Amino acid sequence: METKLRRKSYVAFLVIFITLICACGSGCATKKDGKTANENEEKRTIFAMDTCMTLQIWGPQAKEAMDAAVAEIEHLDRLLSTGSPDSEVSMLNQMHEGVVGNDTAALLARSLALFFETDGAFDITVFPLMEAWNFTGDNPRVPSKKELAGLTRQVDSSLILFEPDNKQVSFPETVKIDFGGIAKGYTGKKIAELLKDYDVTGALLNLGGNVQLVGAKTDGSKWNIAIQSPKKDGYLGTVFTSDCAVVTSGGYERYFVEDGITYHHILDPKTGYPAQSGLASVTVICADGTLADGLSTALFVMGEKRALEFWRNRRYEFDCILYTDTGELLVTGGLKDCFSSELSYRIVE
Amino acid sequence: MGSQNNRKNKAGRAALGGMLLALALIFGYVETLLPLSFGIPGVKLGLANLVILSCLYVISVPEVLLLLVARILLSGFFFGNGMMILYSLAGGLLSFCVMLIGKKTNRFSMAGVSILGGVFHNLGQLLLAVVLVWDEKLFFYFPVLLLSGALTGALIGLLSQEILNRLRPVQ
Amino acid sequence: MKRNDWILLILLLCLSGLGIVFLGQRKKEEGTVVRISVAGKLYGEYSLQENRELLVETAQGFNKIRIEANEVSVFAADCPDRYCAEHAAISKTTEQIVCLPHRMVIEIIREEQAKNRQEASEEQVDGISE
Repeated sequence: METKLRRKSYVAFLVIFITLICACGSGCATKKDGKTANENEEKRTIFAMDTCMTLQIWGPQAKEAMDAAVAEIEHLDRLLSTGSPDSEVSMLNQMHEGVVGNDTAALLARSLALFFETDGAFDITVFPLMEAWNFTGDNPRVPSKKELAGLTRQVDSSLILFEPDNKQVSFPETVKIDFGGIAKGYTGKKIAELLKDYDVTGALLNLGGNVQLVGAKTDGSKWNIAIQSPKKDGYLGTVFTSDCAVVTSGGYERYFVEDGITYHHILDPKTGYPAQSGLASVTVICADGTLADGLSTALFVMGEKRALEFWRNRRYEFDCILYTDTGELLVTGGLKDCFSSELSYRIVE
Repeated sequence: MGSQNNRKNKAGRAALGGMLLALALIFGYVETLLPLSFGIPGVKLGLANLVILSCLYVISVPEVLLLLVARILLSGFFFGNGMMILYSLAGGLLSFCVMLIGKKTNRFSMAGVSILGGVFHNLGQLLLAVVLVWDEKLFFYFPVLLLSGALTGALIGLLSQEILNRLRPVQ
Repeated sequence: MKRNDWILLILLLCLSGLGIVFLGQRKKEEGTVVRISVAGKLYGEYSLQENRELLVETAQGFNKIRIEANEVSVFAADCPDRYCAEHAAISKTTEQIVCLPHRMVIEIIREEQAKNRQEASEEQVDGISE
C-alpha cells in the first residue's frame, strides 16, 4: 500500500515536472538561431595569401558576388604564391623565362613601372633576401653581412626583361621574384572591378589589413577606416572615405628580435637590411589598390623626406599618412577634410 | 547500516569516499553533456547533488562536507575557473547547511530535504552574484530560480530515494 | 513524498508563480540606450539605434557584444558557462543579459536615464588598415 502511494506521487510529480520543463523550454529559452540580419548582406572570412581576409558585401546579388570574389582570391593566390611550387610565380622562378598569363603580366608591368618611379625602393626581386632572412618561414634569422652583400647585388628589377605585347618574361638565374608587396592590393582592385558586375551597393574588403572600399555603406554614407597604431595601442586616426584602397605598411606587422635588436620584414633592397628610414608606419590612400599597396612599401623604405617629395610630384594620384619613429604624425593635404585623430598631427602641403 | 561497518575500517571508508567523489564528478560532468539549457544562469538539474544528498543519509556529516568541497574544487579546476568555484561554493555550502537542518527536523522526506537544498543552492548563488555584479536587479531572477530549484530539487530527491531503496538490500 | 514535502513544494511553486506574475506586470518599454556595467561600475552606454560591435574586456575575460537592428546580444565570450552568448537578443527596458563569471551586465535603459553616452561617430570604425 505504501509503495503504491509513493509510486503514484512519483508519477504525478514526473508529469508536472516534464510539463513545466517543456513550457519553460519553449517559453523563456528563446535561443537565438544564427540569423542573418539582411538578405542582401554577405560576410565571409577566409584565409588566403598567408593572411586572414574578411569580405563584406552589400547588394541584391551579394551571395553571388561573394562567391565570385572568393573564387577570384583563391585563383590569384594559386597563381602568385611563392609557397606552392606549381604557382605561376614559382614556375617562373625555376625556369627564369616564359610566357605569363594576364594577371601576372599586369602585375609585372605595374611592378617594373613602380621600381623605376620609386628609384628602386619598391622591388619585386627582393625575394632571395626575404628567403635569406626567412621572413616567409617560421624561424627568421639574421644572415651574415657577406651573404647579404652577395644577395643584394642580385636584387635589381632592371634585370627583368618583360615584353608586354607577347607577355614574354626572362631574367638571370640568380634573380627570383615575389609579388608579396603588391599582390593583396592588386587582388583588392580586381575584386572591386569584379563586384561592379553584380550591382553591389557597397563592399568592405579587408585583405589582411589592406582595406579596399567599394561604393557606400547601407545608409549611403562613406566608410570610417581606422589606421592601426604601430604600438598596437589603438588607432593613429581614422579616414572617412569611399571607393578607394587604404593600405598600411609598418615594421610592426612581421618582425623578430635577436640580441635585443628588432628586425622587421620590410627590407631595403639597397642594403638588404630592414629599412631604417625613420618611419614606423606608412598608410597610402589611393583609388588604385595596386598602387596603394606598392607605394606603402616603397614610401616606408624611402623615409619621410623622399616620401613627401614623391607625393608632391604625384599628389593627384594618392595621399598618405606617415608616422615617424619619434611619434610625429604627418598627413598629406588631400586628406585634410577626411582625417581625424586624437593625436596631434601636421598637414603637409 | 553500512556506515557502521565502514566506521571500523579506515581503508574501506577512504575507498568509499573516493568512489563517491568520482561519482559526484561524473554526475556533474554528465550534466554538462545534457542538452538542457534554459538560458538563465543557475537553472540546472543539479545531478551532482544526487550523490551529496544520498550520502547525507549514508555517511557521516563531516565526510559529506568534505566530499562536497572536494567535488566543487575539482570540477572547478577541470571544467570551470575561479569564479565558478566561488559560485559553486556559495550555492553548495548554503544548500548543504539547509539540507542538514531540514533533515534534522525529521519533518521532511528526502524529496523535501532536496527541495530545500535546490532552492537554497540557487539562493546562495544569486546572493553571491548580486554582491559580485553589484546589480540589485538580479533579484528579478529570484522567482524563476525558486521555481527551478524547487522542481529540480524534488526530482533529485525522488531519484535519491529510489537509489537508496534499491541500494539498502545490497548493503 | 510525505505530506510535508508536498506542502513545501506547493508553497514554493505558488511563491515563485506569484513572483513571476508580479514581475511580468512590469512595464516593458522600448529603450534607446544600452548600458554595460562590469563589477557594478558603469563600463559604457551606447545607442541602441546604431549598429556596432563592442569588445568588453573584464578582469576575467572578454565579451563581444553586437548592437544590431535595435537589439543587443553577446555573440562571443570566453566565460566558462556561455550563458551570456546563448541569451536571446534584448531590446526592452526590463531585459538584461548577465555574464556572471565576468561580472558583466547589459541592460536597456531609456534615453533620460543615460548618464554617460559614448559618441558613436567618434568610436565607430568600419575597418582597420594595418
